[in-house]
Amino acid sequence: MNRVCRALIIEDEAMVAMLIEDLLADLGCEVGHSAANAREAERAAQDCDVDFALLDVNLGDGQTSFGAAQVLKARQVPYAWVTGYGAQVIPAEHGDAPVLHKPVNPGLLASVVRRFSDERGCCTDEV
Amino acid sequence: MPLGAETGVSGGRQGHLEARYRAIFDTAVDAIVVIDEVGIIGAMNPAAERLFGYASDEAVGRNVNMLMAEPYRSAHDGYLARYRATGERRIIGIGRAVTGQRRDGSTFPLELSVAEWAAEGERFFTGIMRDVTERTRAERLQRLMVNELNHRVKNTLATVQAVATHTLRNAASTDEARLQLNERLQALAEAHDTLTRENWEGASLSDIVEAAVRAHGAAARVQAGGPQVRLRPKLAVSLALALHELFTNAAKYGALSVEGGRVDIAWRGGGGEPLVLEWREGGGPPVSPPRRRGFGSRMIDSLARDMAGEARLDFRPEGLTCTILAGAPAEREQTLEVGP
Repeated sequence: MNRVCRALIIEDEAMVAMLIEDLLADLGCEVGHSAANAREAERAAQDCDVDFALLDVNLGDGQTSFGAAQVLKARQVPYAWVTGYGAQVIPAEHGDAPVLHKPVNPGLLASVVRRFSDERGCCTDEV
Repeated sequence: MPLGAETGVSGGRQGHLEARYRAIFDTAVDAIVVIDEVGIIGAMNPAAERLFGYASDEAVGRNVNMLMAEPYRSAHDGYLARYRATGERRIIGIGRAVTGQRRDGSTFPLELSVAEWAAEGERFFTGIMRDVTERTRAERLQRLMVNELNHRVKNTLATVQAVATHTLRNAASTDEARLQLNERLQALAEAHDTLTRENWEGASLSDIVEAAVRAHGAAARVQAGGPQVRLRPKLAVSLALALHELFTNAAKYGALSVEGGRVDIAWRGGGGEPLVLEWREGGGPPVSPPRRRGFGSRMIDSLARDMAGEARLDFRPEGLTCTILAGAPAEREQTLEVGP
């Protein structure tokens, strides 16, 4: 049996981070790391051994996840945006990544996670 | 000074008209510039002098493109030539937004409308201009605020989604879920009220604590105090929700569930120092650790994470203690901001 998928969550709102953790747990994924600000996010994107990442765009105080996304892209770790903004705030270079809107639709999150798990060969629960 | 056309005919009806238009020209709030068909300025009204910073005598006789910023400045002669050749109207009678340039070189957004007229076989254009800097700024601000509002509403909905999901998942009964959900949403609303009073720029820690104490009707049994510390909006909301969970827990199982129990909430630090917030219950029934981690303890962990610090819940027999330690302020963004 394949290993369980490990996720990186970048989200500055504690409650929303908690929700995403719960939704990922429902899908049978582990949360490898959770970051709340840009600096921590970039470090986690560089150092953490994860299969995919879910990124909030705006981390408050003018910080964003774009730097972390750059690092993930270079490491070829797939990621999706989870945002309260429209898709138009996401720079074109990250335009390929799926965009999930807040509040999070658990069904869409599940389909994105399944796509990532196929790509990475890690396992999630069948939903 | 002529309005552009030769107005040598004087007296009678012509003089009357001339005076009428002169009055409009001189007193208009909008800038008015008259040019000939190759773009040479024939007249400029006082409003235009103020807008562009040129005296009328300096401007008359020069190419009107001196009042424009690039790319209009270089292109304007071409526009006129094309119009003379084709008669195709791109601006006349339509109006458009362009960029003006003042004498000092500064540029500004300009709304321009152009009228064409002829006198004695010659063609002239009258441009009426308005500085729309303020309007442009207001429009940009409004767009920004609508986007920001949308972002906040979406985030708040996501927070409500998180609270509701967790509550429904963990409550023992529908009645309990209903009660808990209402209370948690009230705590969230309370935090928003506190933030709204300060324009969402932040909240004082003591205001958040006071609001929680008041909401739980616990003023007589709670001792709270510490230095003036300002919390970023996100932290204020997290702290309000965490305090709500601590109060609810205390009222159900802890110090506030019996006569004579009390809670001390004390904080120190801030102003560049790491912040430590301590919740200490006393005089309650003997405490035993809960069988599973509830929403409250996860909320407190998340709060600590937001503060780049750590949280500890001690289920001591004499009373629950919760210590939240914010990380050393490495960056302004990550630390608590201390008010004046």
